[in-house]
Amino acid sequence: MKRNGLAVGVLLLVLCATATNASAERFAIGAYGGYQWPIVQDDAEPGGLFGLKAKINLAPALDLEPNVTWINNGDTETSSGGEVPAPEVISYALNANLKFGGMLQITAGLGWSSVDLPITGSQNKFSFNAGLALEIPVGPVVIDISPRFLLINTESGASRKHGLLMAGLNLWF
Amino acid sequence: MRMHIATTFSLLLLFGVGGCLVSLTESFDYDVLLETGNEFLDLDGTDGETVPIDLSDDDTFDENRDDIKNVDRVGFEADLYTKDDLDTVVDIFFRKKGSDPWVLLLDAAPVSGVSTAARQDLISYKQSETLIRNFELFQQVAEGGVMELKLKARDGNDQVRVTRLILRITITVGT
Repeated sequence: MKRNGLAVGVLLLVLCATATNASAERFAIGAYGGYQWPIVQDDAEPGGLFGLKAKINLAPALDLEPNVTWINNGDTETSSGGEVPAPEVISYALNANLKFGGMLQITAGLGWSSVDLPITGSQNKFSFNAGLALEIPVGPVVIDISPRFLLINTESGASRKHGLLMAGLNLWF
Repeated sequence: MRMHIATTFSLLLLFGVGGCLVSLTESFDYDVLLETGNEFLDLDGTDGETVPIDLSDDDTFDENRDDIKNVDRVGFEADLYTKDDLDTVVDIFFRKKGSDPWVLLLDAAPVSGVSTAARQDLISYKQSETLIRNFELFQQVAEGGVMELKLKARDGNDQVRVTRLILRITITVGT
């Protein structure tokens, strides 16, 4: 799992270098934190999240956004109060952000998520996310607030779902 | 162009969400001793102790049995102690009800020789999940709901009493 995270980090750096060479002021890197709510998952409670992203401005109204998000689910309990460890989730996605004038964007992305359970170990699953993004320029950086819905396809058309509230800073080059 | 992209986004949303939005993950605790009418289980012989399991006795399983997409997790909670003051381990096997061969499910849950009726050892759910074996086979059997469990003490003493045994299963259901 750490190797996957490292690989994505390297990928973000390569994209950064590529975009910087290709065109000035068309690339951003960012970091974000926030909170997430597992939706109808009996074995996971709400918890924090942390992530890294890059943004590439492909057209005046369109950004491409590779991102990686570490989702920290809270543990649950058995009926007698015993600890039930929550699944550990890392989500990797490539989003497209469509600007609707001003600072508001809609975003949707595809990728995969690693869902780590003690019994099955880490398993990669197709995932999809969509939501909104608000980029507010503040001096040299941009405050990026983004509520999103994450759907991780698990088995036989079933899924694990999360509501994400992300807030962070982007630095445009 | 903006309209094309918006259309693409909408299609992504429909394809991504449509197929599997209506699924949920549910957990339930099946009290093996309560459901089988046992106050305790004595693992005295080399054959261990066999108990019948019918998960449809649990409301959560019964209400969703036709919509189960996957058995996601299984684990146990148990209180138990040795009656002869020797360290040992307990295995739990499963099979479909009938003559199928036994398959190991819980591998070597430790019971200390100093445990007593007044001071029992606890096998926690968290600990038990790390001892689960043959999970894929269990998933297939558990979806049917009817099975047998066999508990067996090993390491030679075979003198363990189980006073609480909870089977916790997490399922994903959907339409």
